[in-house]
Amino acid sequence: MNPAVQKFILLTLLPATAGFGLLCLIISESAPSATTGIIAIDAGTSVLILTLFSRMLNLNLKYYRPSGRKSWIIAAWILVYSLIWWFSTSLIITSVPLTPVAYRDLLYDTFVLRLSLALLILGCVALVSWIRGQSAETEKINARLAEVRELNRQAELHNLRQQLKPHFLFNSLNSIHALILHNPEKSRQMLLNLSEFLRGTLRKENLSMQTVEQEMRQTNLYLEIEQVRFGDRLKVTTEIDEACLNFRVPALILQPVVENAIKHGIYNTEGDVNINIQCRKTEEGCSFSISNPFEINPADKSDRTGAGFGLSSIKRRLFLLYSKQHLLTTFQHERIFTTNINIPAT
Amino acid sequence: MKAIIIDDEVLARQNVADALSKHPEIMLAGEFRDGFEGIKAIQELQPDLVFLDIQMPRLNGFEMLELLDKPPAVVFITAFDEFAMKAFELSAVDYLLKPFSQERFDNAISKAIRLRQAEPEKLLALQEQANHSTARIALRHQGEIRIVPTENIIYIEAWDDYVKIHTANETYVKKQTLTKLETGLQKSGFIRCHRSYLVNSTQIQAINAGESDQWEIRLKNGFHIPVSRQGYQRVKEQLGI
Repeated sequence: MNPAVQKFILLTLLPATAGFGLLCLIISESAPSATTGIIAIDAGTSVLILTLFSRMLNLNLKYYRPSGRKSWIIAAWILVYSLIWWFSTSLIITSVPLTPVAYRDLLYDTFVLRLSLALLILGCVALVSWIRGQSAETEKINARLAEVRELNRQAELHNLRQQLKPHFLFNSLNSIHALILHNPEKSRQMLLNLSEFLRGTLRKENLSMQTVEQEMRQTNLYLEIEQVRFGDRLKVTTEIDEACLNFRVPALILQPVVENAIKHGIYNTEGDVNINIQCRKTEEGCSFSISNPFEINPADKSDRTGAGFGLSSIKRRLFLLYSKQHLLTTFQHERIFTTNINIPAT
Repeated sequence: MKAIIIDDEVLARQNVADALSKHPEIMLAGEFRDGFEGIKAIQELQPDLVFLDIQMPRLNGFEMLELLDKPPAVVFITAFDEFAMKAFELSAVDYLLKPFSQERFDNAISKAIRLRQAEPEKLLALQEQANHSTARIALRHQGEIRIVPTENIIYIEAWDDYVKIHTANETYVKKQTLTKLETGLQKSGFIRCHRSYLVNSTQIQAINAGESDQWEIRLKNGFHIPVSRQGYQRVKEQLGI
């Protein structure tokens, strides 16, 4: 069946028929002297007009839904419709020639009762219509908000991910250029590492998650390239819990932290730079810890602020993904700077 | 002829040394890893030619040059830096992009030698343009090199050919004009509120009408700085009032 017809029967025809029957019953009970004809006319006009007014009220509320301090407008509509209904019903009934005088009196006697009934019915209709309209609107707003949020999130993630700097790329190419002359074997390895690393950062499905094992493979590629660039000064140790290997983490979350650690280590300290990467199973999920040597130099605050961007963007990304603050924390202890990242299980 | 290389990456230095080995007339006097080592080396070795990497976090190539009284001939080398590249083109100082060919290297050398010391103003112009947004200022203070983060600066005052840079604890002097500093510092939130004053907008506490219709800025540390009529417009614009 046509859904519009279905809706009409369910919401208009059925209540109207029921109302008609009910009204007939009430009138015949309260006025035993009335004939079947007059009862039918009275109940019929009442139900017809009330149904019409219900529809109108519904339409009114569809196009203009007063809320808050303007809610009284709805009450006024209901009152006006009810009064019109009463006047028109009594007009029709009194103008019918076969209506007995006693019934006319009855009509006026039951004014309050009839008006209350109309107010009640129209009030219910208004309430249902208002609630339905309100929830439909809220739903629409929510859907739009969710969409906007999702778009923002994707755009932001995309931006955060586009962090492969041309600076890194050209410096790596420059290192390969030198290696070709002095260590062709190593240059081939470097070129392969660089290619694989680039492919990893460009991969589409990377937008979401990957396992710790994959993440570490990508990070190691990066570390190997950096070790070639910075020579023997850069030493790396990794300790990864076996239990974490299949745990899923946001793709490429480690690389900027490691980059940060290398930058601090290489530029702010003398001698060897030991970067330590750990990954441990925790109650909520998995925890990374990246540490590097750090020179405390009060006169030179610039490096710390300069490196801030990498970490703040990871913080932002973690927040977007998990809606939790403080998943990334840093602390300094005796010339060792440590960055902790907690990845909750999803 | 003596040359040195200043670059933070070992293989990058290797590349320059390789290319330089084709020029027996130039002697490689040393390789250095950052701007601090570079300054020391330039003062001690007095090289005729410096191969200078621009991106070196602690003290970059431009900052290092700024600290030298008599900069030697320089061949700039960069992997990628949009602003520096644009600056090079505008100031016509030669530069190499990593990785570079021998041919390109040879050209840069002959050009640098030809231009040697001849055009310090070109170098100055270059530094100005390359400092698109300054996050720190490198200067000499009591015999050592200091790097002052711009967020620590409260205000800067013109003082003949010099500027006085005021931080909470210290006042530094640097040979530079306020106008040149202003271009780089605008993006860091500095406002030229007066011909002789450049103020850090985060340090402003209030703007008052001072004596005889003059506006003045009261800083968070209680200092007062004069505001000119033009400066007042700029302050209003920048602070959105």
